[in-house]
Amino acid sequence: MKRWIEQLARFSHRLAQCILFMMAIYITIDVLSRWMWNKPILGAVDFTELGLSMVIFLSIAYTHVKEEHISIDFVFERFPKRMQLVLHAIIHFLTFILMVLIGWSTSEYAIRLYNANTTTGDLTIPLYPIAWVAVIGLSLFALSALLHAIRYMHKGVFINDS
Amino acid sequence: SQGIALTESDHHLVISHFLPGSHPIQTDILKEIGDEWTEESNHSITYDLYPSNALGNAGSQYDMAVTGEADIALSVHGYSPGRFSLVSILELPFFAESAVHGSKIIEHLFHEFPSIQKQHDDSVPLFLFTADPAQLVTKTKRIKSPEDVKGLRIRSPSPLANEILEALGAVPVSMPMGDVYESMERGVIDGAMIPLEALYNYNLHEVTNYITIGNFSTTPFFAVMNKHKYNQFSKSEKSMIHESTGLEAAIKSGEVFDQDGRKGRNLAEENGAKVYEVDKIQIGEWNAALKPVFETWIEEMEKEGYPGREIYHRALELKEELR
Amino acid sequence: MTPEMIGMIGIIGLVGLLLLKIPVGIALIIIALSGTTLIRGWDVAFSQLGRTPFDTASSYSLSVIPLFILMGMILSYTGMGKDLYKAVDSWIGHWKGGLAMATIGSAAIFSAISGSLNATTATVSKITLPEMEKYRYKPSLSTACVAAGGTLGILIPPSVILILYGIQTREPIGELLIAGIIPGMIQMLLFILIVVFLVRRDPTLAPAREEGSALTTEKMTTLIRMWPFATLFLISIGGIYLGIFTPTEAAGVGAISALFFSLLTRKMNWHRLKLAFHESVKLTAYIFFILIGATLFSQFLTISRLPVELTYLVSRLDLNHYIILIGILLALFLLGCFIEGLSLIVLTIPIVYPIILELGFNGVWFGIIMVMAINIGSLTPPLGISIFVIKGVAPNIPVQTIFKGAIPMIVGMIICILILIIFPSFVTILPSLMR
Ligand code: NA
Ligand code: NA
Repeated sequence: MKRWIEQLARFSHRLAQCILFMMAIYITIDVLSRWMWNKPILGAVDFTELGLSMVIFLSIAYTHVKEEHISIDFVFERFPKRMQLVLHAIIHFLTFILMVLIGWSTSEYAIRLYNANTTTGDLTIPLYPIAWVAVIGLSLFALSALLHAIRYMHKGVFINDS
Repeated sequence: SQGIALTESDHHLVISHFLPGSHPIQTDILKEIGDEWTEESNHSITYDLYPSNALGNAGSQYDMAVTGEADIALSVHGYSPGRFSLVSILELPFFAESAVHGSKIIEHLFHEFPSIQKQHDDSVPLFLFTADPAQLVTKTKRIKSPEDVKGLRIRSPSPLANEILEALGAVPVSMPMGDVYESMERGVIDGAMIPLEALYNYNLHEVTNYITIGNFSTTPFFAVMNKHKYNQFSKSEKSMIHESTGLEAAIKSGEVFDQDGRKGRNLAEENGAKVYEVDKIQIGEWNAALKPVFETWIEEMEKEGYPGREIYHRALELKEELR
Repeated sequence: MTPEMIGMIGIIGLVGLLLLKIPVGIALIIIALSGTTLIRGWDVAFSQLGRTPFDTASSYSLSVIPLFILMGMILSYTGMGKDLYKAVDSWIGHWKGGLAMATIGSAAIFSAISGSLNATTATVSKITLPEMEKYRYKPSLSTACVAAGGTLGILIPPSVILILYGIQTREPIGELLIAGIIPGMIQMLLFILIVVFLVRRDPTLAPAREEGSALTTEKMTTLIRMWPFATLFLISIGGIYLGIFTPTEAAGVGAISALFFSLLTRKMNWHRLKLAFHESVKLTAYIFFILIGATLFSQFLTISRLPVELTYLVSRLDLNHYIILIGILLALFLLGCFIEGLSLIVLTIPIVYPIILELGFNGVWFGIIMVMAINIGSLTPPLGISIFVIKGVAPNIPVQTIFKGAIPMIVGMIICILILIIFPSFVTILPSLMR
């Protein structure tokens, strides 16, 4: 389970990198062709918006797998070791619940976008599939938080107090 | 739904929109309507205004009214593309001759065509209106005939306007309204297709040297209420709500934009901008260039199963009747 | 409970959660969700929770963040940043704190171009922090320079925030943009003076180059080696000012040009390229997670009416004009500690601006001061976005070190505002020449 989620997170992180590269290329070609042939490529704005959201949602899970979301630790460090581990577990568990809620609510938003037929402006790309991509990213985030919570709980219970 | 926080009244309305807090749509229209309701309901209805997208993007305002995040939301249909295909009839060239004119046309069309109502049926529409018609404003290039537009990079206000600009041989550029000022100033774009209201409200009069008035497109707006909230009102409250909105509010909102349009034009002229109005004889030239745009619109609507042709012809009639 | 009280409790709760080591983004969302539920009900809070992240993440104007970061990462992983610092070191390294001054300058230039505080802070810290560490600068000083330098960009055109102020108030945008230039210079000068002062007091903060001034030949070679960096800079800044692309587009063009130059100079290999992309995306996710939390949190505070009521309260005081002005600025500064700059401007302008005019102050002048006051908030706890971004780039530096290091710079920003209040003509002189 753990390896499976990590690999999925890594894969989606790679995908995010490709999309970022494509965004930069798309914008550059748009600018070049606007000035050299007076013919911009339609949809640079659309592609940038959708690309950005995919880059973000495909990569937040991996950042959490690596526990790299930022926190402030100067008070925390003074707590006893066992308490720190239990607190870690609780925080990850809270994160898990929160991500489930966000994912769930985003999926409802995706359904509303689908029913309303909402698209991007220039290319009329439907928005709902992109919202589903967000839901996938958020679900991965939730799962990795759950795994962390279990791991810390385990460590906190079996830690040697001495 | 309601949280546990104290509210001052039985019905506390969250009114959300995308325009600045200083915009007359807030100060003259929404505030007046809200005050009227508060007074007539003996303070059982109160409200707070949330301008400038403080609660959500311009493109999400409608959805916010659907879910109840906002009790009333006001925004531009075109900011959530795909959702309201039919009101884009007003975005076709030469329909609205002023904001009041456009607002009357759109209100009538809405009440006459169930298919337009259906596209708004997950909320309670209060009134629809339009801005003043979009004109071509440029910094260095003077536009007198369709020929002059060829090759110019013009910021386009909507996907349909992309087609209009392309039919004229211009290069449509999409960018957020907030970027237009600097892009015009530095020459990223040669001009923009905007209502003259924007010369005033977005300070674009500072960077405009030529204005070509031809009513090339019009932007429709909506003001809608959350359904659930609406159903909480008593019968008399509901009729009060409809009395102070509808056609009357649409015309007033149109007046606001026409007024700002005149201000914008005056400011630009004071700054030395030259205004050129397309006259009756030349309009044929423009019409010929833009003919395909009308046909495409009708075809697209018919393809989606809407009475596109019928709406188009009725809009042409209304244009004359409501002038 | 009134909504305003719930807003207050939310702020206190946020500080509490942060101290418990809850990640910043998570803490912001937890408070926003519970606060909005209390004020507006669960349904509203829940649908906002789904819509806001997606809307924030698909914002065209925010796309400058990952693209500028990508450009910075490419520069950093190909050692072009190192070349830049070698040159700076050989030219002004023998001055005490010379590199720190150069960092302030480059952050200022970079943020002037990009117009984004977050993108600048991320990019500049990635390039400069490791270099300054190599020259044995203390992190408290080096991070402070990046954070402070990044705040200068909003005063130098292009500036999204000043345009927004112009649209909200109908003050002439052209004048606003020009008005920011002298205050930006003064602010930068103050930052440099602060570095001089700090280094004089504690020379270990920034050791000067031991061998003294470099030879002219060395100066020249290092300068020549900087050419890709210089060209890239000219492309971005030239492209924006000549109207070839918008600042948003400059980010994409900048990233591709950086890649192009790194391939041209054969400094790029597959491994470095992978690292550059990997880290760009990671940092983007990290920054946007905080931004999403901050957006939800500011929507919660908005609906609590706290910002509006607070500014209203202050501006209705029956006191001397200048005391009211300082009260308003203080309120903006306090709110700026919790709310991101752009949202705070649109929230408070409708209340504050008419009063400022009523008191007889100049609207353009106030725009500059207001933006500067709000800007301070990006360096202060609990929600100091710039500080968090630096922490994301340099995870080894404790966040409290970065916050502490920024304090002198904050003092500098306050002094600058006071100078502009006492001598308003620093702001108004350029616009008056324009008329
Ligand atoms: Na700038
Ligand atoms: Na802060």
